[in-house]
Amino acid sequence: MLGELEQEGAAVICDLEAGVGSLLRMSDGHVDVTLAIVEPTVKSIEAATRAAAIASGHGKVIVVANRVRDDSDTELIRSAFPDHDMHVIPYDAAIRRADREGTAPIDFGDSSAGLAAIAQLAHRISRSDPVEAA
Amino acid sequence: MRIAVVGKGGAGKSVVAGTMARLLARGGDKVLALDSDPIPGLAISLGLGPLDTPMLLDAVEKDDNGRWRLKKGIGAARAVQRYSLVGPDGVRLLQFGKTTASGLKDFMGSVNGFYQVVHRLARDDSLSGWTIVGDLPAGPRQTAFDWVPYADKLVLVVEPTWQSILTARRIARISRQRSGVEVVAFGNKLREDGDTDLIEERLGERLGGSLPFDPLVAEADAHGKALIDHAPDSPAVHAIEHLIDAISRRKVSA
Amino acid sequence: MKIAVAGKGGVGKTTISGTLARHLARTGMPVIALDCDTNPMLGVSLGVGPEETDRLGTVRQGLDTGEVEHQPTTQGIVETFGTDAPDGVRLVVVSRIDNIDPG
Repeated sequence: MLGELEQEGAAVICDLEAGVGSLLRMSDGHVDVTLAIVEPTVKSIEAATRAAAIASGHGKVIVVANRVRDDSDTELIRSAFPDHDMHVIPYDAAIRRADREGTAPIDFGDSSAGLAAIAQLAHRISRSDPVEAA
Repeated sequence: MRIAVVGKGGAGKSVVAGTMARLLARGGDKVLALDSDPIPGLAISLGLGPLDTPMLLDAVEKDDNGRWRLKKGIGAARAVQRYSLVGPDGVRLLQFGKTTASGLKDFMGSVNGFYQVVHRLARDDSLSGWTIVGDLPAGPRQTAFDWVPYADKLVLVVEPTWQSILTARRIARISRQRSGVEVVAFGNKLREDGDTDLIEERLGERLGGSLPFDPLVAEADAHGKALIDHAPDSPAVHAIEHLIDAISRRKVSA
Repeated sequence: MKIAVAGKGGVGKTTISGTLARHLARTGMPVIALDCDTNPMLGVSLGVGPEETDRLGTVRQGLDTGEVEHQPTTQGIVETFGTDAPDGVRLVVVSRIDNIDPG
Protein backbone atom coordinates (compact mmCIF):
# COMPACT_ATOMS: atom_id res chain seq x y z
CA MET A 1 0.00 0.00 0.00
CA LEU A 2 2.70 2.44 0.94
CA GLY A 3 4.49 1.46 -2.21
CA GLU A 4 1.76 3.34 -4.03
CA LEU A 5 2.05 6.43 -1.88
CA GLU A 6 2.20 9.21 -4.42
CA GLN A 7 0.83 12.69 -4.55
CA GLU A 8 0.33 14.96 -7.52
CA GLY A 9 3.12 17.49 -7.72
CA ALA A 10 4.70 16.31 -4.49
CA ALA A 11 7.98 14.61 -3.84
CA VAL A 12 7.99 11.44 -1.75
CA ILE A 13 11.40 10.58 -0.34
CA CYS A 14 11.74 7.07 1.07
CA ASP A 15 14.60 6.53 3.48
CA LEU A 16 15.11 2.77 3.24
CA GLU A 17 16.46 0.34 5.79
CA ALA A 18 20.17 -0.47 5.56
CA GLY A 19 21.02 -3.13 2.98
CA VAL A 20 19.05 -4.07 -0.10
CA GLY A 21 16.13 -5.97 1.38
CA SER A 22 13.70 -3.04 1.21
CA LEU A 23 14.82 -2.09 -2.27
CA LEU A 24 14.05 -5.61 -3.48
CA ARG A 25 10.55 -5.38 -2.06
CA MET A 26 10.02 -2.00 -3.70
CA SER A 27 11.18 -2.93 -7.15
CA ASP A 28 7.72 -3.60 -8.47
CA GLY A 29 6.52 -0.23 -7.24
CA HIS A 30 6.97 3.01 -9.08
CA VAL A 31 10.22 4.78 -8.27
CA ASP A 32 11.43 7.74 -10.34
CA VAL A 33 14.90 8.11 -8.85
CA THR A 34 17.00 5.75 -6.72
CA LEU A 35 19.89 7.32 -4.86
CA ALA A 36 22.54 4.70 -4.13
CA ILE A 37 24.54 6.24 -1.31
CA VAL A 38 28.14 5.16 -1.03
CA GLU A 39 31.26 6.11 0.94
CA PRO A 40 34.84 5.50 -0.17
CA THR A 41 34.91 2.09 1.55
CA VAL A 42 34.96 -1.39 0.07
CA LYS A 43 31.90 -2.57 1.97
CA SER A 44 29.67 0.36 1.11
CA ILE A 45 30.63 0.12 -2.55
CA GLU A 46 29.64 -3.55 -2.41
CA ALA A 47 26.19 -2.73 -1.05
CA ALA A 48 25.66 0.20 -3.44
CA THR A 49 26.60 -2.02 -6.40
CA ARG A 50 23.83 -4.41 -5.38
CA ALA A 51 21.41 -1.54 -4.94
CA ALA A 52 22.23 -0.01 -8.32
CA ALA A 53 21.79 -3.40 -10.01
CA ILE A 54 18.40 -3.96 -8.39
CA ALA A 55 17.22 -0.45 -9.21
CA SER A 56 18.39 -0.46 -12.82
CA GLY A 57 15.43 -0.57 -15.15
CA HIS A 58 13.22 1.04 -12.51
CA GLY A 59 13.68 4.74 -13.08
CA LYS A 60 16.89 6.70 -12.82
CA VAL A 61 19.80 5.74 -10.58
CA ILE A 62 22.21 8.30 -9.18
CA VAL A 63 25.26 7.13 -7.24
CA VAL A 64 25.81 9.60 -4.42
CA ALA A 65 29.40 9.55 -3.19
CA ASN A 66 29.29 10.74 0.41
CA ARG A 67 32.09 11.88 2.75
CA VAL A 68 34.57 12.24 -0.08
CA ARG A 69 37.84 13.76 1.09
CA ASP A 70 40.03 13.80 -1.99
CA ASP A 71 40.40 12.80 -5.63
CA SER A 72 41.46 9.26 -4.77
CA ASP A 73 38.14 8.79 -2.94
CA THR A 74 36.26 10.05 -6.00
CA GLU A 75 38.29 7.81 -8.25
CA LEU A 76 37.68 4.73 -6.10
CA ILE A 77 33.94 5.26 -6.37
CA ARG A 78 33.99 6.35 -9.99
CA SER A 79 35.86 3.18 -10.97
CA ALA A 80 33.22 1.05 -9.25
CA PHE A 81 30.42 2.83 -11.14
CA PRO A 82 31.91 3.86 -14.48
CA ASP A 83 28.58 4.17 -16.29
CA HIS A 84 26.40 5.75 -13.63
CA ASP A 85 25.39 9.34 -12.98
CA MET A 86 27.33 10.37 -9.91
CA HIS A 87 27.01 13.18 -7.42
CA VAL A 88 29.76 13.96 -4.94
CA ILE A 89 29.17 15.17 -1.39
CA PRO A 90 32.44 16.15 0.27
CA TYR A 91 33.23 15.20 3.86
CA ASP A 92 31.74 17.92 6.01
CA ALA A 93 32.67 18.35 9.67
CA ALA A 94 29.58 20.51 10.16
CA ILE A 95 27.31 17.62 9.15
CA ARG A 96 29.16 15.36 11.55
CA ARG A 97 28.64 17.88 14.35
CA ALA A 98 24.97 18.16 13.52
CA ASP A 99 24.64 14.37 13.82
CA ARG A 100 26.38 14.54 17.17
CA GLU A 101 24.01 17.23 18.42
CA GLY A 102 20.90 15.65 16.95
CA THR A 103 20.14 18.73 14.87
CA ALA A 104 19.14 18.84 11.23
CA PRO A 105 22.32 19.60 9.27
CA ILE A 106 20.42 22.23 7.29
CA ASP A 107 19.70 24.09 10.53
CA PHE A 108 23.12 23.71 11.97
CA GLY A 109 24.94 26.73 10.76
CA ASP A 110 26.47 28.38 7.76
CA SER A 111 26.27 26.54 4.52
CA SER A 112 29.24 24.26 4.19
CA ALA A 113 30.61 22.19 1.30
CA GLY A 114 28.57 19.09 2.13
CA LEU A 115 25.33 21.00 2.56
CA ALA A 116 25.89 22.92 -0.67
CA ALA A 117 26.38 19.63 -2.49
CA ILE A 118 23.11 18.27 -1.11
CA ALA A 119 21.37 21.48 -2.20
CA GLN A 120 22.76 20.91 -5.70
CA LEU A 121 21.50 17.34 -5.63
CA ALA A 122 18.02 18.62 -4.73
CA HIS A 123 18.19 21.00 -7.66
CA ARG A 124 19.35 18.24 -9.99
CA ILE A 125 16.56 15.92 -8.92
CA SER A 126 13.79 18.50 -9.08
CA ARG A 127 14.89 19.59 -12.54
CA SER A 128 14.64 16.02 -13.77
CA ASP A 129 11.12 15.64 -12.44
CA PRO A 130 8.90 14.95 -15.49
CA VAL A 131 6.10 17.10 -14.06
CA GLU A 132 8.45 20.02 -13.44
CA ALA A 133 10.13 19.69 -16.82
CA ALA A 134 6.85 19.65 -18.73
CA MET B 1 32.15 -16.57 26.12
CA ARG B 2 29.24 -16.30 23.73
CA ILE B 3 28.74 -12.82 22.41
CA ALA B 4 27.02 -11.02 19.58
CA VAL B 5 27.99 -7.59 18.32
CA VAL B 6 25.11 -5.24 17.59
CA GLY B 7 24.48 -1.59 16.85
CA LYS B 8 23.50 0.95 14.24
CA GLY B 9 24.88 0.64 10.73
CA GLY B 10 28.43 1.83 10.29
CA ALA B 11 29.21 1.76 14.01
CA GLY B 12 32.03 -0.73 13.46
CA LYS B 13 30.43 -4.04 14.42
CA SER B 14 32.34 -6.22 11.95
CA VAL B 15 35.70 -4.73 12.87
CA VAL B 16 35.01 -5.24 16.60
CA ALA B 17 33.65 -8.76 16.09
CA GLY B 18 36.42 -9.85 13.74
CA THR B 19 39.22 -8.43 15.86
CA MET B 20 37.76 -9.93 19.03
CA ALA B 21 37.52 -13.35 17.36
CA ARG B 22 41.18 -13.24 16.26
CA LEU B 23 42.40 -12.04 19.67
CA LEU B 24 40.43 -14.69 21.55
CA ALA B 25 41.75 -17.40 19.25
CA ARG B 26 45.31 -16.23 19.87
CA GLY B 27 44.59 -16.42 23.54
CA GLY B 28 43.86 -20.13 23.14
CA ASP B 29 40.08 -20.24 22.70
CA LYS B 30 38.35 -22.36 20.08
CA VAL B 31 36.45 -19.64 18.26
CA LEU B 32 33.37 -19.82 16.05
CA ALA B 33 32.56 -16.59 14.21
CA LEU B 34 29.03 -16.16 12.87
CA ASP B 35 28.00 -13.67 10.17
CA SER B 36 24.24 -13.30 9.73
CA ASP B 37 24.40 -10.26 7.46
CA PRO B 38 22.90 -10.69 3.97
CA ILE B 39 25.82 -8.55 2.77
CA PRO B 40 28.49 -10.32 4.82
CA GLY B 41 31.63 -8.49 5.91
CA LEU B 42 32.97 -10.52 8.84
CA ALA B 43 35.19 -12.62 6.55
CA ILE B 44 37.12 -9.48 5.60
CA SER B 45 37.48 -8.39 9.22
CA LEU B 46 38.74 -11.88 10.08
CA GLY B 47 41.39 -11.78 7.38
CA LEU B 48 39.70 -14.24 5.02
CA GLY B 49 38.99 -11.69 2.31
CA PRO B 50 35.59 -11.07 0.71
CA LEU B 51 33.38 -14.19 0.65
CA ASP B 52 30.05 -14.69 -1.08
CA THR B 53 29.58 -18.38 -0.31
CA PRO B 54 26.28 -19.66 1.00
CA MET B 55 27.91 -22.16 3.31
CA LEU B 56 25.01 -24.27 4.48
CA LEU B 57 23.35 -25.31 1.22
CA ASP B 58 24.54 -28.90 1.61
CA ALA B 59 23.51 -29.08 5.24
CA VAL B 60 19.80 -28.81 4.51
CA GLU B 61 16.98 -30.55 2.71
CA LYS B 62 13.24 -29.92 2.32
CA ASP B 63 10.78 -31.88 4.44
CA ASP B 64 7.39 -33.23 3.32
CA ASN B 65 5.83 -29.81 3.83
CA GLY B 66 8.45 -28.11 1.67
CA ARG B 67 10.18 -26.52 4.63
CA TRP B 68 13.93 -26.43 5.02
CA ARG B 69 15.50 -28.48 7.77
CA LEU B 70 18.98 -29.62 8.70
CA LYS B 71 19.75 -33.07 7.30
CA LYS B 72 19.65 -36.03 9.62
CA GLY B 73 22.77 -36.27 11.75
CA ILE B 74 23.69 -32.64 11.22
CA GLY B 75 23.57 -30.63 14.39
CA ALA B 76 25.54 -27.57 15.34
CA ALA B 77 28.83 -29.37 15.90
CA ARG B 78 28.77 -31.27 12.62
CA ALA B 79 27.60 -28.22 10.69
CA VAL B 80 30.59 -26.28 11.99
CA GLN B 81 32.94 -29.18 11.42
CA ARG B 82 31.86 -29.71 7.81
CA TYR B 83 30.77 -26.37 6.49
CA SER B 84 32.63 -23.62 8.27
CA LEU B 85 35.71 -22.04 6.80
CA VAL B 86 38.93 -21.93 8.82
CA GLY B 87 40.74 -18.62 8.82
CA PRO B 88 43.83 -17.05 10.36
CA ASP B 89 44.50 -18.05 13.97
CA GLY B 90 42.17 -21.02 13.44
CA VAL B 91 38.95 -19.01 13.75
CA ARG B 92 36.06 -20.87 12.12
CA LEU B 93 33.53 -18.82 10.18
CA LEU B 94 29.95 -19.64 9.28
CA GLN B 95 27.81 -17.34 7.11
CA PHE B 96 24.60 -17.95 5.19
CA GLY B 97 25.60 -16.20 1.96
CA LYS B 98 25.39 -12.90 0.12
CA THR B 99 22.27 -11.36 -1.34
CA THR B 100 22.14 -11.07 -5.13
CA ALA B 101 20.02 -8.96 -7.47
CA SER B 102 17.23 -11.49 -6.90
CA GLY B 103 17.66 -11.38 -3.14
CA LEU B 104 18.20 -14.40 -0.94
CA LYS B 105 15.75 -16.71 -2.65
CA ASP B 106 18.36 -18.80 -4.47
CA PHE B 107 19.85 -19.94 -1.20
CA MET B 108 17.02 -19.80 1.31
CA GLY B 109 18.13 -23.27 2.38
CA SER B 110 21.41 -21.85 3.61
CA VAL B 111 19.61 -19.01 5.43
CA ASN B 112 17.25 -21.43 7.14
CA GLY B 113 20.10 -23.83 7.92
CA PHE B 114 22.06 -21.02 9.55
CA TYR B 115 19.08 -19.99 11.69
CA GLN B 116 18.56 -23.57 12.80
CA VAL B 117 22.25 -24.05 13.59
CA VAL B 118 22.34 -21.02 15.86
CA HIS B 119 19.28 -22.29 17.68
CA ARG B 120 20.86 -25.71 18.12
CA LEU B 121 23.94 -23.99 19.50
CA ALA B 122 21.78 -22.39 22.14
CA ARG B 123 19.98 -25.60 23.06
CA ASP B 124 22.57 -28.37 22.71
CA ASP B 125 25.71 -29.07 24.64
CA SER B 126 27.70 -29.38 21.47
CA LEU B 127 30.49 -26.84 21.16
CA SER B 128 30.06 -26.03 24.84
CA GLY B 129 33.77 -25.33 25.21
CA TRP B 130 33.83 -22.96 22.27
CA THR B 131 33.84 -19.19 22.25
CA ILE B 132 31.26 -17.73 19.88
CA VAL B 133 31.38 -14.27 18.32
CA GLY B 134 28.39 -13.25 16.22
CA ASP B 135 28.27 -10.23 13.90
CA LEU B 136 24.81 -8.92 13.11
CA PRO B 137 23.51 -6.59 10.40
CA ALA B 138 22.57 -3.01 11.30
CA GLY B 139 19.78 -2.13 13.71
CA PRO B 140 17.47 -4.04 16.03
CA ARG B 141 15.86 -6.41 13.53
CA GLN B 142 17.79 -9.63 14.15
CA THR B 143 17.95 -9.08 17.90
CA ALA B 144 14.15 -8.85 17.90
CA PHE B 145 13.77 -11.87 15.64
CA ASP B 146 15.85 -14.19 17.80
CA TRP B 147 18.92 -14.59 15.59
CA VAL B 148 21.29 -14.72 18.56
CA PRO B 149 19.76 -17.19 21.03
CA TYR B 150 23.25 -18.43 21.94
CA ALA B 151 24.52 -15.07 23.20
CA ASP B 152 24.93 -14.40 26.90
CA LYS B 153 26.40 -10.99 26.19
CA LEU B 154 25.61 -8.39 23.55
CA VAL B 155 28.38 -5.95 22.71
CA LEU B 156 26.49 -2.83 21.72
CA VAL B 157 28.69 -0.60 19.57
CA VAL B 158 27.74 3.09 19.80
CA GLU B 159 29.09 6.16 18.03
CA PRO B 160 28.78 9.67 19.48
CA THR B 161 25.79 10.59 17.32
CA TRP B 162 22.16 10.80 18.37
CA GLN B 163 21.09 8.28 15.73
CA SER B 164 23.60 5.74 16.98
CA ILE B 165 22.60 6.34 20.60
CA LEU B 166 18.85 6.06 19.92
CA THR B 167 19.48 2.82 18.06
CA ALA B 168 21.57 1.50 20.95
CA ARG B 169 18.83 2.37 23.43
CA ARG B 170 16.30 0.53 21.33
CA ILE B 171 18.48 -2.57 20.92
CA ALA B 172 19.26 -2.63 24.66
CA ARG B 173 15.54 -2.39 25.52
CA ILE B 174 14.68 -5.17 23.09
CA SER B 175 17.43 -7.52 24.22
CA ARG B 176 16.49 -7.06 27.86
CA GLN B 177 13.07 -8.46 27.07
CA ARG B 178 14.84 -11.81 27.12
CA SER B 179 16.39 -12.96 30.36
CA GLY B 180 19.98 -13.99 30.73
CA VAL B 181 21.46 -11.56 28.24
CA GLU B 182 23.86 -8.92 29.46
CA VAL B 183 24.40 -5.81 27.40
CA VAL B 184 27.84 -4.18 27.27
CA ALA B 185 27.98 -0.82 25.54
CA PHE B 186 31.17 -0.02 23.66
CA GLY B 187 31.89 3.45 22.32
CA ASN B 188 33.44 3.75 18.87
CA LYS B 189 34.88 6.52 16.70
CA LEU B 190 35.21 8.85 19.66
CA ARG B 191 36.94 12.09 18.71
CA GLU B 192 36.39 14.56 21.50
CA ASP B 193 37.00 14.52 25.22
CA GLY B 194 33.34 14.86 26.04
CA ASP B 195 32.24 11.98 23.82
CA THR B 196 32.27 9.27 26.53
CA ASP B 197 30.13 11.40 28.85
CA LEU B 198 27.85 12.37 25.98
CA ILE B 199 27.17 8.74 25.08
CA GLU B 200 26.80 7.54 28.67
CA GLU B 201 24.39 10.30 29.57
CA ARG B 202 22.15 9.91 26.54
CA LEU B 203 22.34 6.14 26.47
CA GLY B 204 21.66 5.86 30.17
CA GLU B 205 24.43 3.40 30.89
CA ARG B 206 28.18 3.26 31.36
CA LEU B 207 30.43 2.23 28.54
CA GLY B 208 32.32 -1.03 29.04
CA GLY B 209 35.10 0.40 26.92
CA SER B 210 35.70 2.66 24.00
CA LEU B 211 37.62 2.99 20.81
CA PRO B 212 38.92 6.32 19.56
CA PHE B 213 38.46 7.32 15.95
CA ASP B 214 41.41 5.53 14.39
CA PRO B 215 42.33 6.22 10.73
CA LEU B 216 44.14 2.87 10.67
CA VAL B 217 40.74 1.16 10.76
CA ALA B 218 39.68 2.89 7.53
CA GLU B 219 43.07 2.12 6.06
CA ALA B 220 42.74 -1.59 6.81
CA ASP B 221 39.33 -1.54 5.14
CA ALA B 222 40.69 0.28 2.09
CA HIS B 223 43.25 -2.50 1.70
CA GLY B 224 40.62 -5.17 2.28
CA LYS B 225 42.58 -6.47 5.25
CA ALA B 226 41.76 -7.39 8.81
CA LEU B 227 42.65 -4.62 11.25
CA ILE B 228 44.72 -7.03 13.34
CA ASP B 229 46.83 -7.89 10.29
CA HIS B 230 47.14 -4.38 8.91
CA ALA B 231 47.76 -2.54 12.16
CA PRO B 232 48.32 -4.99 15.03
CA ASP B 233 49.63 -2.27 17.32
CA SER B 234 46.97 0.32 16.63
CA PRO B 235 45.01 2.08 19.39
CA ALA B 236 41.92 0.34 18.01
CA VAL B 237 43.33 -3.17 18.55
CA HIS B 238 44.44 -2.28 22.07
CA ALA B 239 41.03 -0.90 22.90
CA ILE B 240 39.45 -4.16 21.74
CA GLU B 241 41.90 -6.12 23.91
CA HIS B 242 40.70 -4.04 26.87
CA LEU B 243 37.11 -4.76 25.92
CA ILE B 244 37.81 -8.51 26.05
CA ASP B 245 39.36 -8.08 29.51
CA ALA B 246 36.38 -6.07 30.69
CA ILE B 247 33.87 -8.60 29.40
CA SER B 248 35.77 -11.59 30.81
CA ARG B 249 35.81 -10.02 34.25
CA ARG B 250 32.12 -9.24 34.32
CA LYS B 251 29.62 -11.64 35.80
CA VAL B 252 26.36 -12.32 33.99
CA SER B 253 23.59 -10.71 36.01
CA ALA B 254 20.62 -12.94 36.78
CA MET C 1 8.03 12.17 -7.92
CA LYS C 2 9.21 9.21 -5.88
CA ILE C 3 12.78 9.01 -4.66
CA ALA C 4 14.22 5.92 -2.94
CA VAL C 5 17.41 6.24 -0.89
CA ALA C 6 19.42 3.05 -0.45
CA GLY C 7 22.82 1.86 0.74
CA LYS C 8 24.81 0.13 3.43
CA GLY C 9 24.20 1.06 7.05
CA GLY C 10 26.08 4.13 8.17
CA VAL C 11 26.86 5.71 4.78
CA GLY C 12 24.61 8.71 5.39
CA LYS C 13 21.24 7.72 3.86
CA THR C 14 19.15 9.27 6.60
CA THR C 15 21.21 12.43 6.88
CA ILE C 16 21.05 12.91 3.10
CA SER C 17 17.32 12.01 2.87
CA GLY C 18 16.35 14.47 5.56
CA THR C 19 18.49 17.28 4.25
CA LEU C 20 17.32 16.65 0.69
CA ALA C 21 13.70 16.74 1.85
CA ARG C 22 14.21 20.14 3.48
CA HIS C 23 15.96 21.54 0.37
CA LEU C 24 13.23 20.26 -1.97
CA ALA C 25 10.58 21.74 0.27
CA ARG C 26 12.33 25.08 0.08
CA THR C 27 11.97 25.04 -3.72
CA GLY C 28 8.23 25.17 -3.11
CA MET C 29 7.17 21.60 -3.78
CA PRO C 30 5.16 19.63 -1.20
CA VAL C 31 7.38 16.96 0.30
CA ILE C 32 6.47 13.74 2.09
CA ALA C 33 9.38 12.19 3.93
CA LEU C 34 8.68 8.49 4.33
CA ASP C 35 10.77 6.66 6.90
CA CYS C 36 10.84 3.04 5.73
CA ASP C 37 13.51 1.96 8.19
CA THR C 38 12.22 -0.26 10.98
CA ASN C 39 14.77 1.62 13.07
CA PRO C 40 13.44 5.06 12.11
CA MET C 41 15.73 8.07 12.49
CA LEU C 42 14.61 10.37 9.67
CA GLY C 43 13.03 12.79 12.11
CA VAL C 44 16.45 13.65 13.52
CA SER C 45 17.85 14.74 10.14
CA LEU C 46 14.67 16.65 9.39
CA GLY C 47 14.95 18.68 12.56
CA VAL C 48 12.13 17.12 14.59
CA GLY C 49 14.52 16.40 17.47
CA PRO C 50 15.95 13.08 18.74
CA GLU C 51 13.65 12.38 21.69
CA GLU C 52 10.59 13.42 19.69
CA THR C 53 11.68 11.15 16.84
CA ASP C 54 11.98 8.25 19.26
CA ARG C 55 8.37 8.76 20.33
CA LEU C 56 6.70 9.17 16.95
CA GLY C 57 3.71 6.99 16.16
CA THR C 58 3.94 4.73 13.15
CA VAL C 59 1.50 3.71 10.41
CA ARG C 60 1.78 0.07 11.51
CA GLN C 61 0.83 0.96 15.09
CA GLY C 62 -2.09 3.01 13.88
CA LEU C 63 -3.39 0.20 11.69
CA ASP C 64 -2.87 -2.40 14.44
CA THR C 65 -4.79 -0.36 16.98
CA GLY C 66 -7.59 0.13 14.50
CA GLU C 67 -7.25 3.85 14.17
CA VAL C 68 -8.16 3.49 10.53
CA GLU C 69 -10.89 0.98 9.83
CA HIS C 70 -11.15 0.82 6.09
CA GLN C 71 -8.62 1.01 3.29
CA PRO C 72 -6.92 4.34 3.83
CA THR C 73 -6.01 6.71 1.02
CA THR C 74 -2.60 8.25 0.54
CA GLN C 75 -3.99 11.56 1.73
CA GLY C 76 -5.54 9.82 4.71
CA ILE C 77 -2.29 8.13 5.70
CA VAL C 78 -0.29 11.32 5.45
CA GLU C 79 -2.86 13.30 7.42
CA THR C 80 -3.49 10.71 10.13
CA PHE C 81 -0.04 9.32 10.66
CA GLY C 82 2.21 12.16 9.60
CA THR C 83 4.05 14.69 11.73
CA ASP C 84 4.97 18.19 10.75
CA ALA C 85 8.64 18.83 10.20
CA PRO C 86 10.28 22.18 9.37
CA ASP C 87 9.82 23.80 5.94
CA GLY C 88 6.40 22.13 5.64
CA VAL C 89 7.80 18.65 5.18
CA ARG C 90 5.38 15.97 6.31
CA LEU C 91 7.09 12.98 7.98
CA VAL C 92 5.46 9.55 7.94
CA VAL C 93 7.07 6.65 9.81
CA VAL C 94 6.00 3.27 8.48
CA SER C 95 6.92 0.97 11.37
CA ARG C 96 9.37 0.49 14.19
CA ILE C 97 10.81 -2.59 15.83
CA ASP C 98 10.47 -2.00 19.56
CA ASN C 99 9.92 -5.48 20.93
CA ILE C 100 11.01 -9.04 20.50
CA ASP C 101 8.95 -10.78 17.89
CA PRO C 102 6.65 -13.24 19.62
CA GLY C 103 6.17 -15.40 16.50
